[in-house]
Amino acid sequence: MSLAGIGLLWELTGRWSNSLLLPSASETISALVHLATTPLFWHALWASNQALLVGFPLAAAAGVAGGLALARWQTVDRWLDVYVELLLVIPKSAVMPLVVMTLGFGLTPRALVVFIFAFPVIVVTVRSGVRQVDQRLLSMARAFCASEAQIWRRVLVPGARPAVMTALRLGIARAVAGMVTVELLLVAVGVGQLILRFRADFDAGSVYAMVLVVVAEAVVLIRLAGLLERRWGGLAEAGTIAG
Amino acid sequence: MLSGGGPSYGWRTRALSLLVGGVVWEAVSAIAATPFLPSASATMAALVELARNGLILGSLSISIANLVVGFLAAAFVGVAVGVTMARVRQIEMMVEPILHALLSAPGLIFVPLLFTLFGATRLTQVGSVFVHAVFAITATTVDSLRPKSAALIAMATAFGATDAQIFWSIRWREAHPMLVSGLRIGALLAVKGMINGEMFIAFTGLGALTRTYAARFEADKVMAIVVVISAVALAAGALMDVVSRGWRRTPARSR
Repeated sequence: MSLAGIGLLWELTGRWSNSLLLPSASETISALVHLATTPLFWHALWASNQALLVGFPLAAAAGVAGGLALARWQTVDRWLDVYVELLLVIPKSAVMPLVVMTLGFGLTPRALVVFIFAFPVIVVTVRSGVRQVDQRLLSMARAFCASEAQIWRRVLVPGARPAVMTALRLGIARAVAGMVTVELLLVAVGVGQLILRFRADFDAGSVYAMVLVVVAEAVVLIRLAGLLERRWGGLAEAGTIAG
Repeated sequence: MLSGGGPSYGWRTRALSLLVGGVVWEAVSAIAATPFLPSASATMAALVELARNGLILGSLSISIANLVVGFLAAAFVGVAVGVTMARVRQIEMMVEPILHALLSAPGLIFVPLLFTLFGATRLTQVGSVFVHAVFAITATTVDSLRPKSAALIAMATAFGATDAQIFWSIRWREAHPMLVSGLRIGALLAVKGMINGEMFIAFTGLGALTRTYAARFEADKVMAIVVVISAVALAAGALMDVVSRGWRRTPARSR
């Protein structure tokens, strides 16, 4: 209903403005259908997502491990806290040129950019989640002489699970942002390259179609992460800010 | 965005930790000796040079102007749309799913659309700030306006308050803390939008400067600009903190 309403509004605006720059909904859909029949489109989608497939799991592993370590050992946290905050604040796109200068234009720099985008939010979310693990459980475990390994296995890891699932949902949104940002700004491959090419050709319908594809991918991935979160994370909250 | 909610360490620890980090950075870049990992001292030297020849200041003022205009527009539109959604159920039902989709997507993806409309102009750069911030501000505004004090609202209803009175005297006032934190998130996203927009339409501002030096492989200058941009982000966050504290201190006027 909502989609139909907005679609109708879009169609009418597009037709009324009758401009080369603002395609109507039907023009965009037909561009999308046409794109989906070309191998070019699928190659581009695959090229982009390779960076996501490499970068995101690495960011997830490093971020969860880092978050757990910071929450468990206060000395580490004390020394690294200011850097964690800096990681969150520094606009990642400004750092991208350094990555590309060092590593060139291949898959590695793009995967690293995905990593840089997703890692900070995962660390911070896991850290704050684990800090909320019931302190009484920890002191009880200590009172009963639990070993460090037992504390991790029985208290920290189960207690951290909701935060980890939330962190992965927030992280995947940032990872998609990283994937698209590096392609649009620095390394023109994949989806980003197609958008830039269509833009140069004044093919507004195809530009809009590609944007729809990226929005759809982000929505689907975040929804999936939300589903996993509800299934394994205990509590869940829909929606997230990708930036 | 996420403070972590943990212990907050004193400024001495932070300063010391930054100092140690600086020394480690210097040492690592000396050992690695690659041209693209500039040392802390080289970065500072580049920063001083760029500050002296006026390049930083010129670009910074353009960027900040983009940021302020884009953010104010996003705040105005975001809060207005949020209030409308919170007041009119039908509009909320219609806009909500779209808003969620827009919120999930990376902000930069909408900048090529702005480009098709406005071309390589400053309007596209300001628009980038706007699209990065506006959806988050709208969503938090709607969330902040959800009715909280059922008892207060019941009492107001019993005393014959109109819908508008209940909205503005109760729900709007209770919304302030969350509304302001939404604006803070929006401000940080706006900084991202500023830099992304300027890197996309690379002719003015700090983003354009970053691309210029990146193309010349002058890593120390790129790093120096990263420092400046991070300072802008920190300042935007701090400014929003001041605004929110001021807002909270203002006593709610009774009528």
